[in-house]
Amino acid sequence: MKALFGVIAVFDTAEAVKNAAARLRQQGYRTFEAYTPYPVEGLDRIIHPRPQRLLPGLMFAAAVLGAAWGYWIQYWDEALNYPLNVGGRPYNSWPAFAVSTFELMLLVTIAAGFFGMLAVSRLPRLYHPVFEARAFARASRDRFVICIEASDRRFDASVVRREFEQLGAEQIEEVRA
Amino acid sequence: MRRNPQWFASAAAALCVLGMIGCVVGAIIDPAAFCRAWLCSYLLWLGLPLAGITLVLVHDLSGGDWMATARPPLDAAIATMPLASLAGIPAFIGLASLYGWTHPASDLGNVFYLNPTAFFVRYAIYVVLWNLLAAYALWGARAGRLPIPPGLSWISGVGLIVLAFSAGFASIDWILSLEPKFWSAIFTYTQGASWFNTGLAIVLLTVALFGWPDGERRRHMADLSRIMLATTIFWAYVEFMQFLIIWEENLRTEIPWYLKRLDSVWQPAIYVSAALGFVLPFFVLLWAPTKRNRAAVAIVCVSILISRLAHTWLLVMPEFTAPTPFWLDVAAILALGGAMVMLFALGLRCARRLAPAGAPIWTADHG
Repeated sequence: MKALFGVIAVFDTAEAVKNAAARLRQQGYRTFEAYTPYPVEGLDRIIHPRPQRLLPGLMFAAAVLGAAWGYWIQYWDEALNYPLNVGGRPYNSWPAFAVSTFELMLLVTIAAGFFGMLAVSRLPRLYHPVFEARAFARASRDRFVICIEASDRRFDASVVRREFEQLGAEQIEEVRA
Repeated sequence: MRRNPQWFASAAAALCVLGMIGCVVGAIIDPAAFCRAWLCSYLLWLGLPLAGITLVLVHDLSGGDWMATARPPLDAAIATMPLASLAGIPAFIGLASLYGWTHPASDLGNVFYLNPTAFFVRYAIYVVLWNLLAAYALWGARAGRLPIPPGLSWISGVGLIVLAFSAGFASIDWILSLEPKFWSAIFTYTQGASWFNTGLAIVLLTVALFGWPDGERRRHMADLSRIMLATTIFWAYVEFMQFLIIWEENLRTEIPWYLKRLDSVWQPAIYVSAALGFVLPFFVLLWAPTKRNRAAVAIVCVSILISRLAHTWLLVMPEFTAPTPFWLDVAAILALGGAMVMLFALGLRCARRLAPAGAPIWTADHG
C-alpha cells in the first residue's frame, strides 16, 4: 500500500469549485490545489489570496543587475579597454549606451522571470501523484477537481471526505502515491 | 464623487483673479513677454480636454469597466474644450512677436505653409474639429448607457485618427515652428504623450482627491494607474529617442535646438521634466500595491503635472533671447489654469448628476 497523497473531489460547475475553494480556505486548509479544464476567473485569488512576492522581487533584482552589467560592458569596452574617438564625443557616452543597456536589462529580467517561474511552479515535472486518481481524468474535459494534500496541517482523510460531501462533490477519491 | 469640490473651485477662482491681474500688468509692461507666457499656459492646459477625448474614444473601442470610475472627471475634462481650445487667441494676437516666420528671411523655403493666414486657418480647423470630437465624446454620456451603440464605434476609430493628426499638426504649428529650421518627425508623438499625461494626471488627481472608489471598484484604480504608467513610459521613450537620434546625427540644423535649451536658464527644467515626469512615476507605479494607494497615486499625479509644466516652459522659453519675468510665467499659468479648474469643477457637478455613481454603466466585456 502506497502512502496517502491526498483526497480528491470532483465538482460539476465552475461556481461549485469556487465555492468549495473559498470554504476550504475559510476552514484553514492551505495545501490544496484546483484542476480545471479552463482558467476559472477568480479561483486563483481564492486559493492564493496573497500576491506572489518572490518572483517580482527576483525580477526587479535581475533588472538592476542586467542594467548594471549592460552599462558596464559598454563602458569597459568604449572607455577603458579600447577608447575610440567618435566625432569628438566623450568616451563614456551614456545616450549611446542606453539602448543596449535597456536590451540587456530586458534579457536578464525575462530570463529571471522565465526560469524563476519554472522554479516556483516546480517545472518541468513529468509526473504528479494526482494523475493516479481515476476522477482526475475528466479535469481536462468537463469537470472541476480539487485535491487537498496530506501534507496540510489540518488534514484528516475522513474529515476532508465529509467536508467534500457537504460541499456537494460528485465523486470523492483518495489518491495514493 | 463623495466630497464636494466646492473649496477647490473657490481657491481656483482666487488664483484665476490673481493671475489675471498679473497678466494685465504684464501685457501692459511687455506685450511680447505676455504672449510667450500665455502660449505656455495655453499649451499646458490644452492637455486636459485632449486627454479626456482620447481616453473616452479609446474606451469606445477597447472597453473596460475602469470607465465607471473615470467617467465623471473625464466628462468634466472634455467639457473644458471650448475654453481650452479658444484660449490660444490672446497669445496668437501677438503672432509676430512669437514666430520668426512671420517676417521671414529669404532663405526660408516653407513660407507657403508657415504664414499668418495659413496659421489662423489651421487654428480654426483644430478648434472646430476638437470641439466636434468633444461633443461626440460627451454625447455618449448623455444617453446614460453604453458610451456608444456598437454600430457607431467606427466614428470613435476615425475620431482618434483625426485627433492624432490634428494634435500633431497643432504641436508643429505652435511649438516646433518657433524654430522654423528645426525638424523632428517624432516630436508630434512626444507632445501628444505630454498632453495625454497632463490630462490623465489631472483626472486621476481629481479621483484621488474627491472620488476614490471603494470596494469592488478599487481595482479600477489599478487599471487607470497602469494606463498612466504605460503613457509615462511611452513619453520617456519617444522623448529619449528624439534626443538620441539628434545627438548621434549631430547636425547643424538639429543639435542647436538642444544646445539652446542646455545653455539657457531653463536647463534645470530638463532634469525636473525627466525626474518627475518619468523616473518617479515609473518606480512608484511599478509596484502593484501603490497602483491602488490613494496617496501614492495623488503624489504621482502632482509630480507629473509639475514635470509637464517645466517641460512646456522648456519647449517655448529658450527660443527667445529676451527673458520673460518669472512672475508673468506663473501668472499666465494661474489665470488660465484657474478658469479651467473652475469650469472643470462645474462640469464635475453636472457629470455627477448625469451618471449616478452606482449605476452599472459601460461594462464592456474584456478578458
